[in-house]
Amino acid sequence: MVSDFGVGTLCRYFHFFAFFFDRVDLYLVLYTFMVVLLGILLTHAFRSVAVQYRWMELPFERAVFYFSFGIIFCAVLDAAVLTAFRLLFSPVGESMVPSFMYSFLQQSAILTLWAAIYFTWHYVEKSRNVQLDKLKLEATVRTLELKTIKAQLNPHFIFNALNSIRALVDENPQRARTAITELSNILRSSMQVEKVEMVSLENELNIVRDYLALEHIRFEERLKIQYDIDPETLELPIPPMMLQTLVENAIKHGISREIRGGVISVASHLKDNTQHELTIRNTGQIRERLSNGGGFGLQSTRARLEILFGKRASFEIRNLDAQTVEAKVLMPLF
Amino acid sequence: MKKALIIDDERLARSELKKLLADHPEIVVIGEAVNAKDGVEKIETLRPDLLFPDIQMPDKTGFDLLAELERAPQVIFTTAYDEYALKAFEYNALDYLLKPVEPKRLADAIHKLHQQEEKERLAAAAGLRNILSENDQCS
Repeated sequence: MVSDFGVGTLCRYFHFFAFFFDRVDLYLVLYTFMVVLLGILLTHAFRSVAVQYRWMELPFERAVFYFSFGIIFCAVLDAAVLTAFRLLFSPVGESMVPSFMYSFLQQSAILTLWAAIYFTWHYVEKSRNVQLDKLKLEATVRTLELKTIKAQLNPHFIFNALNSIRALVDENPQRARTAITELSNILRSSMQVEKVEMVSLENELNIVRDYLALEHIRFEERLKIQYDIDPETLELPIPPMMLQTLVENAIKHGISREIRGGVISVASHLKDNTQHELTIRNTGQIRERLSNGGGFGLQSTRARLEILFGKRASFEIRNLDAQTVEAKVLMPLF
Repeated sequence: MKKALIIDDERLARSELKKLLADHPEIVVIGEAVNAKDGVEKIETLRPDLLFPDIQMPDKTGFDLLAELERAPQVIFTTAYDEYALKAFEYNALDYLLKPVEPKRLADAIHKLHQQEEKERLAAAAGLRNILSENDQCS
């Protein structure tokens, strides 16, 4: 049946083209004009309704249902007008029912094709927009996350340092002056954290050295410091204030809890020429279980590495032996 | 005169507080302790009237130290941590000073100490007067 009507439709359009080349058939011209005009009007109306009631935003199944309903409705309307036109003006005798059925199926086919194209076009565009929005959102979330979890300088450290410096003013004015410079360097760097995603290890080490120098004023002979830095790693990029956070952690949970104090060692090496390994060791023991991945310092270190490198970076902290805690960061080389 | 003991693991912090206390001759620093354990021992032997404990110390916190004492002297905490202030008053602390300690704040704390002493003295005097008047009525 359908193919019959399909062939019929084709023939009608051949007639239409025949008009240009062969003979003038006013009826066919008018009829074709009607088909085109109705097609434009109905699809326009269809589109307005679809836009007005936001059919494209419905779930897929419901959208298909509404579209099918719309096609049938338009096809009935279309067929009714065309049948009336044919009954009134056709030079050959036409009977109503077959004429209506013919027009209905013909127009349904055309409208379905139109709707399918419209639907697919918008669906593809919509999902592309959704994907684009998702990407934009992800980028925003990422920046926000980085901003919030970027390690902030522990305010207690600042106040303790200032307290020591005040005592030093009388006792050792020269050292007090250096200490003020060291403290300003650290404060300046901690404010710049917001602005950059990565710094060189060398930059970060300068802060760590200043930081440990200040803590040495506080803890005096209770704090011993060792560095083991491979010069080849100095230019490598690392997240700002990350090493600083880990060293601060080592002081806060390690050295400051030991009556006799202890040693902090900071090491940076290349591992297998594919990874950058940072190791911070301190005297002490992790006694309590690290619930939820430890305190803010450890959590933020993990989260930052995850955001910046995904699964290609790792961080772990453990008791190396009965007196030492070791924190280790592995980052991929770019 | 009040005998005071400073308990802090940082030498410079102790020396700074001593310097500040030099402006208050009625407070005499009779000793220094370098951690909580040392603090408990020195409180036993030196019998101070007033303690200046830090809160974060290597072995125990200043609160743990107070909990261990049988008879607690007056306490003025000195710390860089502001978040323990409420807890400090649960331990009947007279005051809570933030490092670096402002000389004016220290003076206020010592003023509070004198006020408290005055109150206790008045209360004791009132108690004594009551006893005396009761005795008068008896006789």
